[in-house]
Amino acid sequence: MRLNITLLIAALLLLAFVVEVVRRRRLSESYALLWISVAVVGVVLGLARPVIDRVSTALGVSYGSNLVFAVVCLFLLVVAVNLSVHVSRLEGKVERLAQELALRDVTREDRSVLRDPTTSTGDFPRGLDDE
Amino acid sequence: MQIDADGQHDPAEAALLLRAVDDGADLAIGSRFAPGSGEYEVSSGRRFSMRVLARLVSRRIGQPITDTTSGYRAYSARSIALFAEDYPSAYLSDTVESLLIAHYAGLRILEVPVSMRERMGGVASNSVLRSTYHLIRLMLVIALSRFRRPVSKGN
Repeated sequence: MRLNITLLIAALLLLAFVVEVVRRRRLSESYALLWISVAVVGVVLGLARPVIDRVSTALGVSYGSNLVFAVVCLFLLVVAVNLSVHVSRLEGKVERLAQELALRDVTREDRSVLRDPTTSTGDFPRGLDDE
Repeated sequence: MQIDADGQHDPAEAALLLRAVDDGADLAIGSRFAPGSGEYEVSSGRRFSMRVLARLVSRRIGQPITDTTSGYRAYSARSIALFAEDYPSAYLSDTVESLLIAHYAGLRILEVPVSMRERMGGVASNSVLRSTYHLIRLMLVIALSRFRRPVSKGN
């Protein structure tokens, strides 16, 4: 029984935290929906102990809490991998963006050099070795 | 003025929206569903979403809004000043959430019936799953709208 209450409180805290970061616009609503549903599932699990017990017996797991633990671990693993994929894609995009911007700067400086030869700073366009 | 580029909005009706702003509205919305607007056919799923959004938003701002996702709008100087600081960019948030932002900033919102034409190019963004997701997302946005920080104050 105490386990249920702990789970319930944890889920409600998660819910409150997620709502607060969305309110501050630190978290986009799409991710908030994911974590809000996690919190709701947590609340349901906290309230529906008999359901867990029945499911775990049906699956041949002797302790309901073990089943919950395993499922939660698996879920978090999937989320973590998913986020890594997402971050990788974003990294690629940022890199590409930085490179394109740098190239654009170089061509612009190049042009101004062509227009006014006295401002020339060397035989290589500036910008490439800036960083 | 804000107008869709796919030919759905009749530029001739811009005058109606501008007149509403001249008459004191800060945000004039061209509505496809207000009494007096032309026929506009939508799929049943889309219609359902639009009805739900209209009801939720209307209740929030205490004034009937029939078309929350209309992108045919005219702005007063005051609303331009507000939205230059604080304007959501996510899909559909730009229309729905900006309405709520305008309301909480004390701007006067007015709906003007307009007729919509078939779009001349492009495809409507659709898919049952996606629109359900967006509907739920917008419900969250609407629920939190009153307490949220301005977009510009986020990270």
